[in-house]
Amino acid sequence: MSGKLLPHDATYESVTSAVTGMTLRRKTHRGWWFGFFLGLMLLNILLISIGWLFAFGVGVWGINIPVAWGLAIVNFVWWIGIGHAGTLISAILLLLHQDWRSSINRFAEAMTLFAVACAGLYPLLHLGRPQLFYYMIPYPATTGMWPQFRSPLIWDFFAVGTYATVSLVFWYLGMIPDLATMRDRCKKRWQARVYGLLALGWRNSAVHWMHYKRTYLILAGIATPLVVSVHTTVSWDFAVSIVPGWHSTIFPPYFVGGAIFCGFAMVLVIAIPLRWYYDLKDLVTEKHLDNMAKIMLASGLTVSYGYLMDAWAAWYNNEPFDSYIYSNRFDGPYAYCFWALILCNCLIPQALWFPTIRTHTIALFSIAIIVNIGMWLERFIIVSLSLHRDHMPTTWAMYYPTLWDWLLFAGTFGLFITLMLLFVRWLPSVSMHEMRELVHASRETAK
Amino acid sequence: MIVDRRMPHVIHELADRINRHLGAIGSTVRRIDSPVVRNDQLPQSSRNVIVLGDESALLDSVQNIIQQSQRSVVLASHKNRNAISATWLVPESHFMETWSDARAHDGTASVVQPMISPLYKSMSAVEVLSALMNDAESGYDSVRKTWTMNDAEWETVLANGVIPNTAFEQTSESEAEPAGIDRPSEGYNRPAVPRSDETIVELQFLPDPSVWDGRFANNGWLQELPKPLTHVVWDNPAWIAPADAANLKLQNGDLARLSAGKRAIEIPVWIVPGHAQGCVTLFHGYGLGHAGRVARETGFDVGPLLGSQRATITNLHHSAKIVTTQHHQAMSGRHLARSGSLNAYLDHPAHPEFAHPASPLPEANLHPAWSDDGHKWGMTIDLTACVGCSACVLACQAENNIPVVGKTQCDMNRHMHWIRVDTYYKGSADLPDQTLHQPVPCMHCELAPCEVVCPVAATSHSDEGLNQMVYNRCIGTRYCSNNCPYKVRRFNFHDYSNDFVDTPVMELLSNPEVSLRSRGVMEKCTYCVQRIENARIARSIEGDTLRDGDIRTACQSVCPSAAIRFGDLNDPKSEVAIAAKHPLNYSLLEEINTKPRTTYLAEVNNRIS
Repeated sequence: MSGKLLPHDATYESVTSAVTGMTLRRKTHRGWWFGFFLGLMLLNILLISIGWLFAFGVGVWGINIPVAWGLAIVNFVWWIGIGHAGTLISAILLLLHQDWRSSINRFAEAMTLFAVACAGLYPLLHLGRPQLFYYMIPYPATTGMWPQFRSPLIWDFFAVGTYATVSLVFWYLGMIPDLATMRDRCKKRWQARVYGLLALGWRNSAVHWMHYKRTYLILAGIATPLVVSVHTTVSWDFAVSIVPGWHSTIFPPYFVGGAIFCGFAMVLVIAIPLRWYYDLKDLVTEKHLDNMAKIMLASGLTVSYGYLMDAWAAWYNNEPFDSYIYSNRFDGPYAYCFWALILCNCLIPQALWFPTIRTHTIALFSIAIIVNIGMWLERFIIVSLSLHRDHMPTTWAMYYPTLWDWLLFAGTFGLFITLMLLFVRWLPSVSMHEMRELVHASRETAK
Repeated sequence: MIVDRRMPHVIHELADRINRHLGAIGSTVRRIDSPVVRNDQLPQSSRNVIVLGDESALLDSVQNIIQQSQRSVVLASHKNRNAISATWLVPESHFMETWSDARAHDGTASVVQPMISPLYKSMSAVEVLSALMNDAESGYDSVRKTWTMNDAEWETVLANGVIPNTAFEQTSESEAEPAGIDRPSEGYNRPAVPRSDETIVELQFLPDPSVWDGRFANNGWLQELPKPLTHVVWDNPAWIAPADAANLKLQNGDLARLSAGKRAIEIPVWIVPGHAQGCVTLFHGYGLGHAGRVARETGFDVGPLLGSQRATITNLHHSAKIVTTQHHQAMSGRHLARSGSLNAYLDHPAHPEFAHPASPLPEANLHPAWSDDGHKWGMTIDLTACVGCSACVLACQAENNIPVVGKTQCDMNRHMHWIRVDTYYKGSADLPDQTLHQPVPCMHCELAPCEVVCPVAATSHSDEGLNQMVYNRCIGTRYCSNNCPYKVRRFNFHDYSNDFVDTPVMELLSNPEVSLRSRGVMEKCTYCVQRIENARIARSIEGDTLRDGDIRTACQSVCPSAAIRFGDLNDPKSEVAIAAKHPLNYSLLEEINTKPRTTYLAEVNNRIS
């Protein structure tokens, strides 16, 4: 298997220089500058829309009563979902000894971190009084007040906080040996200083490796349940309520499935251009794309099953509120969103059954984009459209996001793109030491 | 038998005959000489004119007299049409700033007492008149002089509000029946509208239900009060029957031209189920110049068509922004506003089925029940009594410092009313059998879904069963509103209360007993907790405990049909406890087990089932 993951002539040196070359030898290319400029533009939009929001309040968005949660929460769930693939790839696949993960885990983890950073903005920004967000933290206040621990929002606050912390530590820890390699290979003194500082004095000794391996495995063990728990907890924000269309026991597995689905789609959206632009076809091979496509197909089927069971349960309940939510999804004023969702998430991904599609980069890239759109629609339908027609028909209303809703969403792409490009430019975006292990293993098997 | 005054003459004659037949004349129905001055009694012109009060500002005849006069003095509270064309303008005191007197419909006199001293240098009509009579006395002296009585009697009159035995004398009348309507049904034949042409409609003119003939147009509370049935705010679209709208391909808010002879108006239409076909109802009171800063650019003037019987209607194929706060009027198979016939009720008085339709009800509950010790506040709303007038909405707004948010925010479904009056139509969509009104304040659920989801405990349960909002603690996640099945929570999406209070005098608008809510905070009905506490304090000063009737919520105190009852459910003799145990009593959305403290009495009507 590992034979397909590496070219036959791969050596320790070739693998290492391919990765270090991306940051150390290669000049900052025009394409990178273009992307960075775009990222900064969007980042400015983010800052402007946050400024506007703070100046005039959440009323600048399209939210209302009954739809009190709009694009902010939709985007929060969407970004958190994207942030799933990274930890899944690095932790769960590590524990399952899936060697093919080695070339993609690093930037998948980076993607996770940056996606969680984008996601983490929303719950703070969507507060009516964001300056008081710290009421959610259990701190010894003179008021004697604690958070209200029965609220799923508190669980969510902790779940996302834990996930962000563990993902950051896991990502950084995994990078330490590579940062040492960078330190040793860079030509400029100041660069060596910076990388040296980040490498925390790594000297490649056997003791270092022993400690490192052990810690990394333990962290993988800690991170693994988080992959499942964070989106489960996010799903409880909805499932614990009594809103028809939210109150459903299938939400945790179905949310986790959805998160893996769009997380892998996002990894592909990043990996395919990266691999083309930096000519990393030897490291991120067709085998990788194929495997990721398979996971996407499987998780996509889970999600489709979730839709089916959710609808079935609504019908089986024989209860007017739940069944109405579904008939409204099928042919209500937002039916086009639902059918677009079915097309994006259930029908089009079926093309992944064909091996040629799974390795065809353009087709795969397009499907990954479509899946990301589909998963966004899913969150929009669940979060906002469940609210627009709930128990009392007299309160039913439409929800239309405003310009400021969309600009904030566009702005988080700015944050994501900027961070991602800075990462690709300055940090080892493929795990060199794990790739070298792969080379070693393939040689052993060749013998 | 009393007949609506909008009814044609023949109906009044018929009612009169019935009353005579019943022997009601002189016992329950009293006839008096009409004290109302009619328009046609006004002089045509005059050299010197004094116009008192705002009401006449809307009359063209008064306007003509002012313009033709050499010298005119107008007493007006704000720059209305009369004030602008007058030679002299005297600022008018508000009736709550002045001493005056008034007469009720039956002639009973009442003394008008000021609530505050005048905010500005202004005069009342009484003071202007006395100034002109060279004895420039205060309004108080004038009133005392008019109603001569000693101080003790005066105190009694002020306390009671009315002066006893001042009703008009009953007019003596012949017992002979009026001639000419031996067979009144013939007189009732409506003038035949030639319906071969679908574009000709009969016109009906009504004063607007909230701003009346326009004299209240500059009042934001009234502008934002959802009008009965349509729930339209800030506008006066023409009502049209669903069938007519379908023929003309008109939808809600579409502009239509109504032309009668040379006069025409362009006005948006609103489709009203049950409205008579071939007829368009127009509401005056809108679209008037000089209506003040609130009413500026609101609504459509129907004045040009006043006096016309019929008009030709055409679809202009574009629409105006008309905002409603209730978009759906069907119950969609849910048992929300329940009603049944008197017969159905009498068949099963102990368990009327229409009040308790078969529905799976919750059987178990994981949460421990709240303690029932002490007071247990609750409210009942009698749907039989409710007429859907929306007075409760306004009373609540005034009591609880609820801001006016404006048409644009209403269009975004952000109106702030803590109680709303839902309208439901039963039966066919075009010609419903029945219209139901259901006031919906906070239910103060015993198992409140809003409370468990708040991450910071900003909404919590009091030991007397109130579902409380702690504004200071609220960080505005809005989760409570999402989880409220009744959607009675309101959110300050912008800084509404500060935006509303934009001039210093507006600060006097606020009820000092109730805090203003800042941007980003959730709010909702409190059962007028400030009134509960005030009543409790008042009783405790007397060394006494609360009694039934001590506390009257704002909505309850203005309800003209006494549909709202409030009190202690633990007091078995309280009005509310008795109503809560009535067989007609039901809980809204009881199937989701929120255990509301606000409950409803199903409507009983005289329909033949």
